[in-house]
Amino acid sequence: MSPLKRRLMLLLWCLIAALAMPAPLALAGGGERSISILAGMVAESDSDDPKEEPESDPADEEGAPEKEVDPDGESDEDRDRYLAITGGQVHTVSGPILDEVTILTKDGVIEEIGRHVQIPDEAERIDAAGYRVYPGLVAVDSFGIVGRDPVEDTTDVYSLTATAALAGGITTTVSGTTAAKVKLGTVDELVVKEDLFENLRYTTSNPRGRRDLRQAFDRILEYLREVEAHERREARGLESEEPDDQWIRGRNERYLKLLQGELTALASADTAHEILQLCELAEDYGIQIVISGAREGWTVAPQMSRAGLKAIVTPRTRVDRDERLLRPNGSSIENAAILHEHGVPVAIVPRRSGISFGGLAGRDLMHLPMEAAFGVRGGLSNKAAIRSITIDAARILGIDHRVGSIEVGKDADFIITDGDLMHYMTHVRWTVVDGRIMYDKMEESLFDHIRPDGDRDAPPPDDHWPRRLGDEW
Amino acid sequence: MMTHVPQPTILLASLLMLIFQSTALAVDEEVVVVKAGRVITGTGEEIDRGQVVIVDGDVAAVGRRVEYPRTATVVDAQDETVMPGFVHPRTRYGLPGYRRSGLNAHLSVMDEVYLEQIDFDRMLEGGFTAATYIPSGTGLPGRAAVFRTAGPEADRLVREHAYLRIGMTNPGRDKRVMRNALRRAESEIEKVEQARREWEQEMAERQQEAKEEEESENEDSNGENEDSGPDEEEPKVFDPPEIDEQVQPLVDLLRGEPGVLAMIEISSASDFIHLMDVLAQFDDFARNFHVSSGTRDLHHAIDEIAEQDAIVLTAPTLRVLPNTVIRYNVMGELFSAGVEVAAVATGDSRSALANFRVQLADMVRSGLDREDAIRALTLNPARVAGVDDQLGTIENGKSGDLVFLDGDPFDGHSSVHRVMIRGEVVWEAGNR
Repeated sequence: MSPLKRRLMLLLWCLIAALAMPAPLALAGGGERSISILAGMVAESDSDDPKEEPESDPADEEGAPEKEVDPDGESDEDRDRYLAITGGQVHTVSGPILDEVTILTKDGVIEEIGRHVQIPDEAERIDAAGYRVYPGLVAVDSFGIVGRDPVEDTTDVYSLTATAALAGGITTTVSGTTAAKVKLGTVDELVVKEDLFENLRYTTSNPRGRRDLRQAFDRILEYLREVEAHERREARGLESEEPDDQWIRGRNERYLKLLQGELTALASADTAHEILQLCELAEDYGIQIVISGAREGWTVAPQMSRAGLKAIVTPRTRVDRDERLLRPNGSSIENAAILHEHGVPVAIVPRRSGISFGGLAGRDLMHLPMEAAFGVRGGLSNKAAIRSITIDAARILGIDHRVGSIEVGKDADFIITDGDLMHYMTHVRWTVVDGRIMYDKMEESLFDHIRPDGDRDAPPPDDHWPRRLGDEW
Repeated sequence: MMTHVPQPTILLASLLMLIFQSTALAVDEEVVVVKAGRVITGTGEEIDRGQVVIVDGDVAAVGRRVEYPRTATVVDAQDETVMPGFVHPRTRYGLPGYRRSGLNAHLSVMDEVYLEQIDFDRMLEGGFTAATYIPSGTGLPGRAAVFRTAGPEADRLVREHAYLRIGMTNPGRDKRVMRNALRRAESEIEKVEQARREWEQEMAERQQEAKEEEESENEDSNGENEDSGPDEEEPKVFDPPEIDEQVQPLVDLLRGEPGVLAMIEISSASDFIHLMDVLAQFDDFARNFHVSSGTRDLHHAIDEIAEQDAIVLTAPTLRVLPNTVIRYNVMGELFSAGVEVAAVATGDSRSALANFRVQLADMVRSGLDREDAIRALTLNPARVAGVDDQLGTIENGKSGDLVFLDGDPFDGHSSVHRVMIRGEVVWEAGNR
């Protein structure tokens, strides 16, 4: 009922209005208003927020100013990336120590080392005058720095532990059986080498496992002999049946690779007895074995050397001598030195392969050079100690063609330190991975407040802890 | 051409016509006028003593002095601040924890939501007038839908296919799922392209044949042409093969269909880099995706995010740099880098929803621009869900979904007084 009533009321009102006032004014009557509102609404509704497309990408604008075409045949849109490190004392590790030379890197590879290097204008520069330049450190074991299986899909590329590892000078690390670069903010070209090792369990506490392994090896050697015989007969034109290879799958396939020298075994062994057993295995089957631990390696170093074993050791390992045994046993700070003297390639790792921000400070992966310094304490030469965390470690991993030393053609992984690498006061100032600055001490909050100018005689900071509180707190 | 009719007659006739027309409109329409102490339109404008006219549920005018029919219902909010209803960009409020895993892009949260079973009181109390419901699970659990938290039954559903949810919180697993899904979508597109090529070739051959036949007919007019006529007219239009419904939304995203959105969930800055790693292989993937993230360490990837045209969904929480007392405001940093942010409550609990606005106020206190904060609350979540044509601001043509606060939205003391949906007050603080 009410709409009708309202309509009538309005009609009446309008009639009165029409009679009472001139026509133009009547048009602005009550009913008319809703029309104008509606019109406004229609007009407004099709105005959308204009979302502008981004203009052409910067690469197009710049064009390709480079005269030379990249030998790798890279598309000319991604320009060559140069980084020059000037004025530093360069410890090449594989060669001499060079004073005040320039290292020029191009697209993540060392392009040139020398006194008179032409630095392109667009190159990024690090003035390393007063600093030392070392190759990035190689940690042959790590936990929680990069991801695992597959590294490129599981790495937290902004993790604090990765930053800390870079602050500790580590640029290459091992996760599981994959060697990977430590990088922040990218997953490009993380992996250096996959399938580094075949993990062997060949211990005194597992006699059956040892027997099974030897049997498997024997069977594969038998197969290899059969293959050889088959090939020989075929070459002579005789009738011959190809040996069955259906069973060479999975583990057996890995063993085959081991026996053919395409793969390296990694075995954990600490006591002399265990090490000797592995020596025997290596000599019997001619396989490459890397021993992790090797606490009593110093007692059997000649045998290890003869068997071609390699060792991953921790100089600060402490196990007391067992008085019941007559033979020398227990740990020795001289372990790394003695092994090295006997020609056993040695890589040094700290006691903890992860990085912790409490508890084990100084014995984790962030302090890899400290661990090497303890090798020096046990008689290892300074040079050999540095090698044990760079080129020798890379060689054990089979990636020494890419990392571990400063040479033209190798990956541009450097650490630039404010002192001797193994000095306890030394901090890494910059870490460069694949020609990119991945760590800058003054940009990260880890050590930026400690001797900010690299001045060793500077007094300790007065805001030591809790730091950064400032006046307002 | 002028016919000579006495002037007053025309005047009266036209007047009567106008009267009838206007009265008809006035009667059918439900006109509501909100007279607010302050109107925050959400477009960057704040109007003291502003008025909002809502006709049939949609905003028809807003300003300091607007015209409205006298018959309009007046909502007196002289002591209140009126702003657009908050839009929740991702929620499972009131839904059970049902989880899917793997590729389920064809499914929708629509199968799960029974509005009558959800008590929206807490949402309304928080100022939310619309909520984007997400399907739960890992991988690609399906598409989200936007509902109003109250109001007339017919208007509850705002958008059925809001966005496709894609998980990237565990790259070790999710990268594979996403890659495989996108590869499948690509092969579906390739299937259609292949069929089209074949069809085009067939058409060309047929034309050729027809031409040859014509020629041969012309040459020897014997008239013994066997195959002509009927099958020539048959497939004039290309009928594309059907696309696997499981990857249809991804196909739409790869094709850049307008209005098709994706919301990719990440939990850290690293996940964003991994996401970019996946998308690097799929250039066609529409860049109209949004990322939802915790604020854990998002500051690392702000520059990378700014390169994309994505809105970031994130909770209004301040973080502390590890091992320091340095606090950072990710939301503020994102905005100042040119990234638009949609604020998400830290959870679906009563306290999370109630504290949400106050948390955002804390962000404003610590550097977030006030205007940005309002956008993060209203317009940006609406854009994330693709409902910014209806919700998110008080503008002509948009829905009259408003929140009435008894003070400034970023004043910790103020609270939501009333909630209006489609021009109707659906919730009042006293009625709890």
